[in-house]
Amino acid sequence: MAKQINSRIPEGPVAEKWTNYKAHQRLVNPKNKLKLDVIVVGTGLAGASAAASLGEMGFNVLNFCIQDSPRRAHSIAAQGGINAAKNYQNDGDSVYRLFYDTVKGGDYRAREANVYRLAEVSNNIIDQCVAQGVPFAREYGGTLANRSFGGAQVSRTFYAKGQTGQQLLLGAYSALSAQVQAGKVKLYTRYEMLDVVMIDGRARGIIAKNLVTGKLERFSANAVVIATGGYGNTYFLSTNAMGCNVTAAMSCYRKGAYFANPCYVQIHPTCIPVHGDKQSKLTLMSESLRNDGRIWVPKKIEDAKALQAGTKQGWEIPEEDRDYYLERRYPAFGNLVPRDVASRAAKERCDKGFGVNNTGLAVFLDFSESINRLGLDVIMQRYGNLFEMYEEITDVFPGDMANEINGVKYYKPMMIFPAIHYTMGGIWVDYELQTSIPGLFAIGECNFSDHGANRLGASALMQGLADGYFVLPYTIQNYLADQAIWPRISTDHEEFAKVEKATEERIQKLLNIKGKRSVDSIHKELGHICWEYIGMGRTKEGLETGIKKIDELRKEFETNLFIPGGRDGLNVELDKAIHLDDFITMGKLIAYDALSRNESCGGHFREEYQTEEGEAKRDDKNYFYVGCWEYQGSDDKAPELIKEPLEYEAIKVQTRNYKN
Amino acid sequence: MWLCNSSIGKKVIMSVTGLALILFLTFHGCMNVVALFSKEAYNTICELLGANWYAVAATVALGALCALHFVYAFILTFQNRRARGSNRYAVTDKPEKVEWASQNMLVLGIIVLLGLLLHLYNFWYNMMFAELMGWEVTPAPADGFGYIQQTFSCWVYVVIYVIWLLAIWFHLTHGFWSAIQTLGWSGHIWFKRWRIIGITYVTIVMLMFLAVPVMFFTKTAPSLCCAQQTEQCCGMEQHECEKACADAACTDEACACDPCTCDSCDGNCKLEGQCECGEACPCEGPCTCQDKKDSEG
Amino acid sequence: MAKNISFKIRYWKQNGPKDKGHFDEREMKDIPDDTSFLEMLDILNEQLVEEGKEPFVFDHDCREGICGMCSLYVNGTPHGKTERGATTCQLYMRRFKDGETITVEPWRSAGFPVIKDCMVDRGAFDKIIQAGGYTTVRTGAPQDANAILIPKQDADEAMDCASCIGCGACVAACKNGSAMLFVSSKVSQLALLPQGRPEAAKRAKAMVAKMDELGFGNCTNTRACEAVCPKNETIANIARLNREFIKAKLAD
Repeated sequence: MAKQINSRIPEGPVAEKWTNYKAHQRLVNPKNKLKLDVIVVGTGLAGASAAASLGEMGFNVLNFCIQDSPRRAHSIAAQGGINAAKNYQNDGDSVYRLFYDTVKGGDYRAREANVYRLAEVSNNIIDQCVAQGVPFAREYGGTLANRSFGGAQVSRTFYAKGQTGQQLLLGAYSALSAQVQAGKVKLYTRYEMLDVVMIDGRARGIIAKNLVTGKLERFSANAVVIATGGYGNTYFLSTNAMGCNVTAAMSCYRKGAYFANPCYVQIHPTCIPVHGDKQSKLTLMSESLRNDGRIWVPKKIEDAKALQAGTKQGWEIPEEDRDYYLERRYPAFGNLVPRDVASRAAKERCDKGFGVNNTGLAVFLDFSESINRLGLDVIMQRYGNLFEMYEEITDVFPGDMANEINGVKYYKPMMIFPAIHYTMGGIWVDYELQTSIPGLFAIGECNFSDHGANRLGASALMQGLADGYFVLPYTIQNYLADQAIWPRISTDHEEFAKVEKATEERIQKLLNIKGKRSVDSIHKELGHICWEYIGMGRTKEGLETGIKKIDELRKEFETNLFIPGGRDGLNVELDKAIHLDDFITMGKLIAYDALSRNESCGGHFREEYQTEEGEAKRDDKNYFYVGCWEYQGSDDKAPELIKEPLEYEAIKVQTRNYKN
Repeated sequence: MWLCNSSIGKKVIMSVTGLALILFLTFHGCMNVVALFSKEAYNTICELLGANWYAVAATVALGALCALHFVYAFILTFQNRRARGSNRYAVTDKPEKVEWASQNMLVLGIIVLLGLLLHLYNFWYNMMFAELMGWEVTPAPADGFGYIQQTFSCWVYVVIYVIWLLAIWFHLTHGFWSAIQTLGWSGHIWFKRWRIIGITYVTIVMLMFLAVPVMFFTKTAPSLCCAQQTEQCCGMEQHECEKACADAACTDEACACDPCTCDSCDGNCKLEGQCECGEACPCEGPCTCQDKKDSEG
Repeated sequence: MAKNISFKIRYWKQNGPKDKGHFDEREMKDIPDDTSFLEMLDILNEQLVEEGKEPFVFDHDCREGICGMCSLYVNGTPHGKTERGATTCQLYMRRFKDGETITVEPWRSAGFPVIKDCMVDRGAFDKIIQAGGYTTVRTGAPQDANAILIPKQDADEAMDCASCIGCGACVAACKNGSAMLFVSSKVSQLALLPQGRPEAAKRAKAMVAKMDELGFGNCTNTRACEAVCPKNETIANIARLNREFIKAKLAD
């Protein structure tokens, strides 16, 4: 008998569920809030906003981050913007339309009720952030400006130059700082959560490593919220920060929290191509560039060959010999198709041999047409900082005029290629953002809930802040309402001692391998395996090979790892080794999920399941569910799949169409 | 009190005292310029600013300003060194934007202070202070002009003063806009303006100061010119004397000198250096052109 | 096309804040010049680990110039020398010459004690923000975002001030170890926006007081900070902070 999953979606029509929920949920009275402690792990958009809001409500919050300051969380790197259904542009936007676009963009694999709630609170986020002093871009009249983004036909994206994530995070960080000052939030920086402590089947605390002293420390609370981001770094090369890891999420998974939809990994179409084997990370160029940039490869294969050999340059190829393949294939959305579509289209062209750099793994993003139309000044105003960033990395400035053919000026194009960017999958949560472990919540990228199989641009910031400011602070009360009657659990409790001991043993085990290989060299290998076999285009055989190779790599890791330095004090290599341990498990989990999902949808593309035109072919009859994976007590045992069926009331499930 | 406790408060004191001192320098410089043109006018000012109550009060206030400026400079520098920490960089590369003066304000300030002590000794000690004390000094306390002549006849003093003034110039090229900046009257655009205004203004003031030692030492100050020329005139024929005066752009009037008195010959000079009676002139002072004209007339 | 360069690297090793510290040296051979500076350090560390030695420790995270984590003093300049200003992670080896000696030091300032090697503790910046770098607003339902009209010019200027990434290069470059550029950028951002005005006086006073308390030095307007700021914050912010502070104090 398969396990049943209760996603606790409230009754009523989708548009009224959240209102109904809030009207009927249990609340905690102000006095009891003072007795309740909440641990929030992570200080990104979701973590910082949740910690700030909970602190403000009166709970005692313990907030952890691995960096030296909450402000460094990787939310800061989001460039493009944040969506909201404000309809300030009078272009027909509405909560329903944002909801619909998000569900459609997610290839109909998201939970309807969660997405509607997300769209509903999106407007509050903008109000909140403006009140905090987030300097969003404005029109001359003083009203907020918007730009358009992939996957939508309205302009609903609010932005602050190319640094929207930074500004929103700093907003949340300042709210958090205010609560730290007020004494409601206690901040622990350079701390890493290594395990969750469960007492009587509920999450009641964590074991965290003080990264500076190296010591394990115990923290007890009435509820634990993890907001630790995604698992993109499993692939080694991704747009994630170097420190992003899946260790906290994996520790929850090992304690019994389901991991949902791990195969949905978003590949961002506009990253700077890989340049060498020493590369440590991939740099994203904002998707907003697709507003004015046109993506192309040569029409003629000989031109592509010449580009690859370096005997020809992009600007020497005239207009008529360029294949603007996105505009050709998707006339209605053109260069603004969703990320998964754009990424796959680039891969398709490169696989056919039309790649434009020496590795054959790049396409052009060209601004000639818009510079000729709007002038360099306008383009520089919009993308100046991105152009400069691109130049710093590649030594090519996209605003440089390079050629003139028949009176048409050609500028140096950027080269881009897809890269791992965001993970839609994550810890399974119900409508209340509670995981399958009572008292353990997951928010932000760390959970799976809102993006289905693919995330639209400018929705990650929206989700993180929605969860942190407007959803979790309510729903967590429904759980905490009856918790105040219990006395605080001391960290001397035997469960804490047990989990700490297990964690210490795990660390000692890694230190005692004393092999030859560095953490990074094994991680790079894992990245290659994942990119090759569970990357953009997956096949059954490939995935099976991938699993086998990951198993071999785990053996290598367990026998041949070398960690210099000792147990005490700061040991960066040790911390990386712990992360890698979890990345390996994660890699395999992605492969299992990908293998079990015999369809193509969103960020999951199985080459066996595509239309004749190369589009993703969904199988709604058999795979209209959330794939939840349950840990079976050991990393070596295959996890068990539990299905949460999706039920759509408001939206009719269709084939995604960005062509017309 | 925020002026003593906060970093910005302390710097406000530096700024306000600094700007007040720049204002003082402006007045001082203007007065100095008077000495270039007229001994009498200059000495009139000296007399005015002698041991009068208002001058003494102003001097005390000025001294307090200087003291505040110096004391706070040392307090701030001490704090800054502590904030810098005990480890120093092995390699430093000064960005082009950073003015040399801005990083060496204390050193410049100390040079300025040493120069100031010398300057006080050279002038103020003999003038206002002596007068207050009732000391007998030569030249007389109100004869500022005499002290200028005396001091800047010696090249060592001139060199020291030139170095001193240069240090003040450097100090002020940064100090001027920095003071404005600290008081918050600056921004993207005004920063550039203040810097240009500051450098121009300070250069003008310092040139006024520089003129005195240089022109007195080289004896090119117009106020000196006449006295000097008339001295020469005493041995000349009249037309030669007139020519010399004209060359030096002296006015006739300025060429006047004290009448020569010859007791033995009833006060009548025949020629320069010679009394009408034909005897050698016993007067020590030179005869003047005017004198000669009178006698001839 | 990338070419390879070889050079000597001198990097600072220090075991904790009390340790005296010293330079280690190493010859780096044939590093492609399209490698980023931090990737070059990754290579260095890979070599060290292969030899069984402890790696060189430095802070880094996003590697795209926005998180503000990286903090290396390269050849006498915070973050190394680039034309427009960039963080260490955005520094590429093509900026260096073949055969050069590259010296890498930590931020040196009493406000930023060394944790290990070139990793320093910048917790003081958090404390300054906690003292008042925010607008007091409850999560919930503030007025509609468009109810506050902000002239584009003001919004843009506030955005420029808000670009600060809190890396601490300003303190590292300042001969006085002053944090004025950091503090003034936050104060300016909020002072320029109507949302920040109600608390402007309180904020300026509280943040300056905290900055002083934490032992940062006094600004002497040398402009070294703005010369090295990777986000091009300017001392116009410092002037604004001075203005806000003096105004607040005079109104007391």
